[in-house]
Amino acid sequence: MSAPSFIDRLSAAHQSAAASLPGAAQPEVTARRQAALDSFRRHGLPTARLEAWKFTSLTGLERQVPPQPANEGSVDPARVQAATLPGDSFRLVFVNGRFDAAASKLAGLPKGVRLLPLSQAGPELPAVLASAGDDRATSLAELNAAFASDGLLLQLDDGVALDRPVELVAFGAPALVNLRHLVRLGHKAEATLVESYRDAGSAETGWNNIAAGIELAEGAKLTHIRLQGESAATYHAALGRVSVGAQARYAHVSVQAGGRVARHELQVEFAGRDAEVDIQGLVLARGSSHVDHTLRLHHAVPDCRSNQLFKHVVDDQGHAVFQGGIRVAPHAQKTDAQQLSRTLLLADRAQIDTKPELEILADDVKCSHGASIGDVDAQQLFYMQARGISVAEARRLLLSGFAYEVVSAVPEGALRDHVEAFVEAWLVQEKDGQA
Amino acid sequence: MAANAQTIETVENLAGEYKYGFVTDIESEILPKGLSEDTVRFISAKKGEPQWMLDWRLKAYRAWLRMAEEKGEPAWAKVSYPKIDFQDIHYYSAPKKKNLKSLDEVDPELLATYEKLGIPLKEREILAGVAVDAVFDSVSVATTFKEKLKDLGIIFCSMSEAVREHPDLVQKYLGSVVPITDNFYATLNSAVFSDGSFVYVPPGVRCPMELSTYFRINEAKTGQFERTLIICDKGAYVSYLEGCTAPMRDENQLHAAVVELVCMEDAEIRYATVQNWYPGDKEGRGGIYNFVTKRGACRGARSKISWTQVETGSAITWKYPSVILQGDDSVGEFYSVAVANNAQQADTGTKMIHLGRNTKSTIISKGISAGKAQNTYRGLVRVMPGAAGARNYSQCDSLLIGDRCGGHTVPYIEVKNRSAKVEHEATTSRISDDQLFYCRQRGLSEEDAVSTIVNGFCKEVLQKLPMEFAVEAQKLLGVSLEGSVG
Repeated sequence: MSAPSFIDRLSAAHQSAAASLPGAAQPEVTARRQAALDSFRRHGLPTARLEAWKFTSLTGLERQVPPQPANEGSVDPARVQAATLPGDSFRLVFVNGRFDAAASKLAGLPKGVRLLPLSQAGPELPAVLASAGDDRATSLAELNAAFASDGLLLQLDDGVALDRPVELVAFGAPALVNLRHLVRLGHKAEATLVESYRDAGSAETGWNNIAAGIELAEGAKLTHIRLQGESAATYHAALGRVSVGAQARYAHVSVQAGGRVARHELQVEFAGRDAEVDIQGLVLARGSSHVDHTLRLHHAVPDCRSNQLFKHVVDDQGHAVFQGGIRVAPHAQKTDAQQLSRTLLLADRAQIDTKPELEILADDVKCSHGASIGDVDAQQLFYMQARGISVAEARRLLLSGFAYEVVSAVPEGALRDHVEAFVEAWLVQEKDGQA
Repeated sequence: MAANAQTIETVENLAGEYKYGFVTDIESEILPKGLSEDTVRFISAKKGEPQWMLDWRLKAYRAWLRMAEEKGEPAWAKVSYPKIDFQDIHYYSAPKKKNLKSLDEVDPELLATYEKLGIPLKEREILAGVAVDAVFDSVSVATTFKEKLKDLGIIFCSMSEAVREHPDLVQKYLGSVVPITDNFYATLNSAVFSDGSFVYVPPGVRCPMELSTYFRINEAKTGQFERTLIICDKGAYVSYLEGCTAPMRDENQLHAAVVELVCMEDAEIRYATVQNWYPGDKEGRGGIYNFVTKRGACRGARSKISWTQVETGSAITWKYPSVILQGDDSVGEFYSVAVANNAQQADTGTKMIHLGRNTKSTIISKGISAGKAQNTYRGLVRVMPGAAGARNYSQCDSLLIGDRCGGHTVPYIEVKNRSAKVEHEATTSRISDDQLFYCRQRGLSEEDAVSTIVNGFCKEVLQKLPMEFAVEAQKLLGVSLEGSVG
C-alpha cells in the first residue's frame, strides 16, 4: 500500500468524523482543524530521512493500523483500578480517545482550578489546538490537531497550589486515537500531573497519537510523571511542548515500558530567567519494542538550569533511542545544562542509538554530556554470587538499582510507590540468569 | 641538531601574521574552467593514464552527475557558504616543466617557494629524517629519499607514477576504502583527482622515516583534488605526515581530497595532519573550502590506524577521518584539535565502525572557537552485532573564547552488541577569569596566557604528534587565536 492512499483514507475519515469532534460548532476551530489536516497532507508521515526521526521508523504503521479514528469502547474496571493512584487524586480517564466520566474523579475541585476533558471545553479550544509547527518532523502533531477527540485541560490561577495529584489515564484502541492536552499554571501555581498510557488488553494494533502543551508562568512548579506501558502491538507517538517562565520549575519523569514503537518527544523552551528543568527518563524495552526519547531543550534566556538523566534497559531484540538536543542561544549566559545517558544491553540482539546534540552559542556556560553503554557488570554479579545470591536474583537487584535512580526523582510517598510498582512489574518479568 | 634549528626557524616564521600569503609566479598549464566528460578525459590523457584508469574516472564522473542531479551537495553539516558553481573551477593545473631527473632541474622559483615554506627539499636530510613528496598544485615535481626507501621495498611516489608503475596495486586498492560513490565530494574527486601520494610498505617492513607531503594550493581558482593511498602490508609500520599552507587569495578555493588507508594484519599506520590553509580574512572572505574524505580500513587482525590532526585553517572544514575496524583486536584512534577563529566554520569529527571482535577505538577531540566562528564535533561510533567485546572511549571538549562564537557537539552512538562497552564524555567551557588572572599575575601577557591555557587544553592531542609537528602546531594555535581576546 502506498503512502498517499493511507493519507487519503485518513482525510476521508476526517470528513466523516469532523462533525462529532469537539468544537465542531465553532468556525474558528473547524478552520484550524482543516488547516492542520492540510498541513499533515502536505508533509505526510515523518520518515527516517529526517534527522529528528533518523532512528525511528513508522513504516509498519501504514500497513498495520486502520486509518480511522477509534470507535467507542470500554475497559475492564480492574485495569483502571490497577493503573490509578490508590490515594486521593483528581482523575480523568480516557478510553479509545473518549472521556469516561464513570471512571473519572473530578468532584471537589478547589477554587481557581479548571480541570475538565477537552470534549467539555469551549473557549479554550483554539489555544489547545494551536500549531506545533508546519513541517514534516512535527506533522503528527498536526494530524492530532485535526482529529483530537478529547484530552485533558488543566488551568490553575495565580498562586493556586493543588494538594492532590491530577491523574490522566488513557487506554488505547485498535485504531487511531488522538488525545490533546493543555496544562497552564499561573504565577506561582503548583501542581502534580501523572499521565498514564496503558494496555487495554487488546492484541490488535493501535496507534496512540498524543500532543500536549504545557505553559508555566513565572514561579510556577509542575511535577510531571509520564508512564507509558502499552501493549506490544501499539504505536505511540507523543509530542510535548513546554514553556517555562522565569523562576519556574518543571520536573519530568518519563518511564516508557511498552509499545511496538513508542516515541516521546519533548520540546522545552526557557521563556524566563532563573528557571529550572529536570528531566529523567527510564526505558524498559524487551521483545521487539522500539522506544524513543527525543528532547529539544532551548536555553533561550540567561541563568537557567537543566538536567537530563536517561537510563535504558534493553533486552531481547529491543531497540532504544535517545536523542538529546540542547541549544544555548547567544547571550544565554550562565546556562547550566547537564545530560547523561546510560544503557544496559542485556541481549545479543538488543540495540541502542544515542545522539546528544549540543549547540552552544554562548561562552559563559557549563554544559556537559556523557553516555555509557554496556552489559551488567560481571564483577558486581560475582560479588553477589560469592555471597550466596543466585545469578537471577543478583541481576534483578542490579537492574532494579539501575532503574531506581530515575524512580527516586519522583517525590516520595504514594506517587513514588506507584512508579516503583510500575517499574517492578516490568522487571519481575525479566527472564532468569540469561547472562 | 640542525633539525632543531631548522624547525625553530620554520616555526618562528609562523609567529607573525599569516606568513604564507604569497603567490609564486610560475607559468602553469591550466585547463579552462568547467567540468565535463572532456575535462575528465583531458586530465587522464595529460597524465598518460591507461584505459582502466580513465574508465574508473568516467564511472565516477557519471555517478557524480547523478548525485548532483538527485540530491545535490550534502547539506547536513553545520556550515553555510554560497553555492559552489562547479563549472567555475579549473580542474587541472600543472607547473610547466615536468619529468625532472634531479633537483637541479626544478624551477628555482618553485624551490624558493619551498624555501619560504621551510620545506627541506634540498637534501636537508638531517631535518627530521623526513622524505618529502612535495605536491605543488597538482603534479609532484620532486621526490626525495626515494632511493633509500626503495632499498627496503617501500614504494613512495606520486599517484600518477603509481598508476603507471604499479597498476596492480592501484587497481587492487584504489576505491576499496572510499568507494567511487561514497559521497558527493569523494565522487567528484574520483573523477578529476589530480595527483597525490602513494605509499606501499611491504610485509614486515618498518618505515625508518616519517613520510611527508606538503600540499599547497597555488594557482588561483584551481580546485585541488588530491588522492592519497597508503597500504601497509602485514606487520609493517608507517608514519605519514601531511602539512598544508596556501597563499592568500580573494576567491574561495575548493579542495576535495580523498585519503585511503589500508592496514593489514599486525600493521600500523599513523597519519598526522597539520592543516593551516588560508582561512579568509576577518569576515571570512577568500578562504579555502576544505571538503575531505579520509578513511582507513583495519583489514587484518591486530592492525592499528591512528589519525592525529591539528586543524587551524580553511574557511570551511568538512572532514571526518574514519576507521573501519574489520580485523579482530584492531585499534582505531582519533586525536584532533580544531581551531576556528573569526568567521571560520568547522564541522569535523570521526567515525569508528566496529566490525571485528575485541576492537578498540579512542576518540579525543578538542574544539576551540573564537570570534564569530562555529565549531562542530560530529562523530559516529557504531558497534555492529559481530563486534563482541568492542570498546570505545570518546572525549570531546569545546572551549569558547568570546560570546559570539559557537561550539557544538553531535556524537552519534549506535550499539548492536551487548558485550560492547562504550563511553562518551563531553564538556563545553570557556577560559575562566581565574585561569587568566593567575597567568597575568605571573607576568604573562594576555595573549601568552590564552596561548598557554589553550595549549594545556590540547595537550593530550599535541603529545600524539611527531616532534617537529608538535612544535609547529603549538605555535600555530597561538597564531590562529591572535586577536581573539582583549
